[in-house]
Amino acid sequence: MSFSAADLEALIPRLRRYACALARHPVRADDLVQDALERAWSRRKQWQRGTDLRAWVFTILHNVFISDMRRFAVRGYDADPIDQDDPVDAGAQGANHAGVMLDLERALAALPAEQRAVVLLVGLEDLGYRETAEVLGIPIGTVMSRLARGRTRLRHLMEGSLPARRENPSSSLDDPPAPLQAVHRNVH
Amino acid sequence: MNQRLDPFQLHAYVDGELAPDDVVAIERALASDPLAAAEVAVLRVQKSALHARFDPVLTTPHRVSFGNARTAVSPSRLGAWASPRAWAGAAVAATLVVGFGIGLAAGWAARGHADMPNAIAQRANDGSSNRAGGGTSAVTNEATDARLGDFVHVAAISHAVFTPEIRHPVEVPATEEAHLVAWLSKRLDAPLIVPHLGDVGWNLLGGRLLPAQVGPIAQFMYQDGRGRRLTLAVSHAKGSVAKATSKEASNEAPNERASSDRREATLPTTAFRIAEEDGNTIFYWIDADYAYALTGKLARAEMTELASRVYRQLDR
Repeated sequence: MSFSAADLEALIPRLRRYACALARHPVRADDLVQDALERAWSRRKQWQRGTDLRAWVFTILHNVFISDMRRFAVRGYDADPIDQDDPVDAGAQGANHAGVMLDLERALAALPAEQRAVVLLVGLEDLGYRETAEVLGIPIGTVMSRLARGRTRLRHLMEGSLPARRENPSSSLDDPPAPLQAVHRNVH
Repeated sequence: MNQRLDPFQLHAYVDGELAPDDVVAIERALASDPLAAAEVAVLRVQKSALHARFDPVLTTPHRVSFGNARTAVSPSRLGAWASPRAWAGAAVAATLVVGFGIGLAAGWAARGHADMPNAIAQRANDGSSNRAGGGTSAVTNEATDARLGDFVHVAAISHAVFTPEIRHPVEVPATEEAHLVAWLSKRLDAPLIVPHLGDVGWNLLGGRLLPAQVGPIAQFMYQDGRGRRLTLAVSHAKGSVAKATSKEASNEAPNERASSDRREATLPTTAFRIAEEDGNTIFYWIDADYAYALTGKLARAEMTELASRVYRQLDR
C-alpha cells in the first residue's frame, strides 16, 4: 500500500514555494516540482510507509535540483539571464561592492546553493534540523553550520557589506563553492 | 552567571529546536545580553521576510499538472480547486450569494477591480462581454464572483497546507489571543472578532496572516479533543457598503437609480453557501464587508452547527 496521487498533489503548494525560492525562476521552479512529482510517483513503491512523505518528496526535489544544476553548470545555471542583464547584479559583480544592497531574492541567489537549501528548508519550510539533514543527506552538525553561515551571509548581502559573487569562496567560508559539494545521496 | 551565548544556540532557539529547559535558560541569558537579543531579532526578521516573499507562491496559479495528467486517478481537492471548471463552479455558487446582496457585492467589486490579478480580471471582463448589454450589475457580479472565488480558493488551500502542521500550525498561539486579534485587525485594517467554540469542544489554537492577491486574509484555527482541525478564514472588503452603493448609483442613468435604491434597501446581512470537496466542507458567506470561509473535514451536520455558531458570534 503506497500513497495516492492526491497525497502528492496536496504537497504541490509547499513544493512550489520551496522550489521558487531555491531556483528563482517560477517556470524553472514548476519544472522542478513537476519532475519531482513524476519521480516520486514512479518510485512510490520505494517509499516506506510510516515515514514522512513530505520529507521524502523534498529529498527527491532537491536531488532533481542538484542534478539539473550539474547538467546546466557549463551554461551557468546559477548565472542565469536575470543576472546577466540585471543592472543591480551587474553592479554587484563589479570591482567595488561596497554599498550594493541586494533584495532578498538576489541575495538568496548569491548564496552557495547548499547554504540556500538549508536556509530555506529551515526558515521557510519550517523543517526541523533533523528532517533537513535527512532531506539533504548530510549530518545535523553540517545543517547547523550551513544554516548559521547562510543566514549571516544573506544578511550581509542585503546590507551591502559582502560581494554578491563568490570570487573567493574560500576566503570567508570553509565550504567548497556550490553546487558540486552539495548532495550525493540518491533517494534509493 | 553570564556566559557567552553560543551562536548556534541562538539559531536553534529561533527555530524551535531547543528543549523547554534550554529555552528557559536562553531566555534568561538573552534578558541580560542585548547583543544576543538583537541577533535573535534579526534572525526572526529574516525568517518572516522569507515567508512574506514566498508564501504567496502557495496560492498563485501554476502549470504543474500532476493529478490531471493521470486519468486513472481522480483529481484531488487542490487540483479541482485550481481548475478553471472549479473556478466557474465557485463563481456560480458565489452568484447565489451575490444575488441576495448586490450592494455588498459592489463593495467587493470596487476593491477587486483595483488589485485583481489580470487573469481574474480578464475572466470577469469576458463574462460581462458575453452578456451583451448586461450592464453594470453583470460586471459587478462577475468581478465579485471571481473575488469571492479567489478568497474561497485561498481559504481551502491554506486549510490544506496548515492544518497538518504539528510544529507550526499557527503564527500566534491562542495564549496571546489579544495580541492575535489586534495584530490581524491591524493587518486587515478592520476590527476582527474571534468566535469561541470551546463550549462545543473546539478550542482556539491561534491564527496566522495569509497573503493573497485579494488582500490579506486572517486564518484562525481550532482543534477538538480528537485532534481534528477547523479553520476560519476572514477577509475584509475595504470601503463601506454605503459608499460603494452610492458610487454605483451616481454612475447609473437616472431611470436605473430607482432599482439601485431598491437593491440597497433589500440588502440582507448574510447568505450561506456550502462547497464540499474531497471530505472537506467549506461554509462561506459575506456579512457586511467581511467574507468568511469555515473549512473542516467534518460531517455536514456538524459543520452546519459550527458555522451557525460562528455566524451568530460574528453577526455585527
